[in-house]
Amino acid sequence: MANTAGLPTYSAYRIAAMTALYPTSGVKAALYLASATRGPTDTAYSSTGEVTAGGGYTAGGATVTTATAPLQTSATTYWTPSANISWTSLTTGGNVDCIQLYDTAVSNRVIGTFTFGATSITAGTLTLQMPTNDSTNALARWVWS
Amino acid sequence: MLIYRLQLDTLISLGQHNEPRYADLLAQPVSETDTLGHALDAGQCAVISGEWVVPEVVTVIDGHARSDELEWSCETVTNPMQIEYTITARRIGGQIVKQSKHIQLVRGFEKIIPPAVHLITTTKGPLLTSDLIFKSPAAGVTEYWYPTVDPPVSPLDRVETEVLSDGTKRYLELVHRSAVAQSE
Repeated sequence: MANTAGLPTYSAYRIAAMTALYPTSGVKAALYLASATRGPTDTAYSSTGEVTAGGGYTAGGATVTTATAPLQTSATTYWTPSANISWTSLTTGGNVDCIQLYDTAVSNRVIGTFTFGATSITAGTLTLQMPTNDSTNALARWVWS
Repeated sequence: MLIYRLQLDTLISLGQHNEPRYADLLAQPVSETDTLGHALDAGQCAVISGEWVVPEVVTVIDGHARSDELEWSCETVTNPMQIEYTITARRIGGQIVKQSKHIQLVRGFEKIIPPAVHLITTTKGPLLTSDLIFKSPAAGVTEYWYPTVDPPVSPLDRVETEVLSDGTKRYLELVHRSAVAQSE
């Protein structure tokens, strides 16, 4: 019986890898104006282009509820915040079109950027309703090839 | 409190928000149930099963207003990733005094995790994938390596393919980095 070299493929290994980046606490969501230039190449939270504090918004954004740790089905490891993200009584003072998630426990490391149609929120609610947390629809999915 | 459903640009009265007959409406989806009462109580609007629910008195840019004294409009934009529901309330005359947005994420994002560097069996013997480039034949490159198995028999024998113009797939040639360096 020959030995086989390689890194582990068992699920606990992959879940641990994803949990390191998508933790069960310390995640925040920052809201950005449509004039900002946020994107997947960002490494850390930035206040540049963020909605100005006041008017229902706190600098740095809202705390994200992440009670559910990453899960795995087949070769896909996935993660979704366990509650919707929302701001109420919000006035943005201009068009917004982007939310960025970041981990406050690791140098505000960015873990996702999400865009939507530009909208100016006036004395209203902005809600980001999370998708179904499964291997097909989850907010973040790692497919191991 | 009275609640309304916004149908196109018209408020349709649903009755009192705590009436049992609306329990089913207000109970779904579950993820919104906990905050719905608070949202309506605070004069905010909420999306329930894809429809806006508007309370009797809403917060506006300069305080509060009766919702039936405002002009309402809503817009829904759908794409493969998300559905965006936007609601706008204007005072008679056109001034926007309230605007909310509800984004229903249908699907998140997928990242393909490539396999770690490993040995692959080729016609030139075992080689590390980090030493190889997967590509089509290129001018000036005279020697190629190929996978020795079809299909791969080992989970470590990962083979790259490309789709040709006629729809068929073929293996990409494995080119050693040193060969490419010499030819370019």
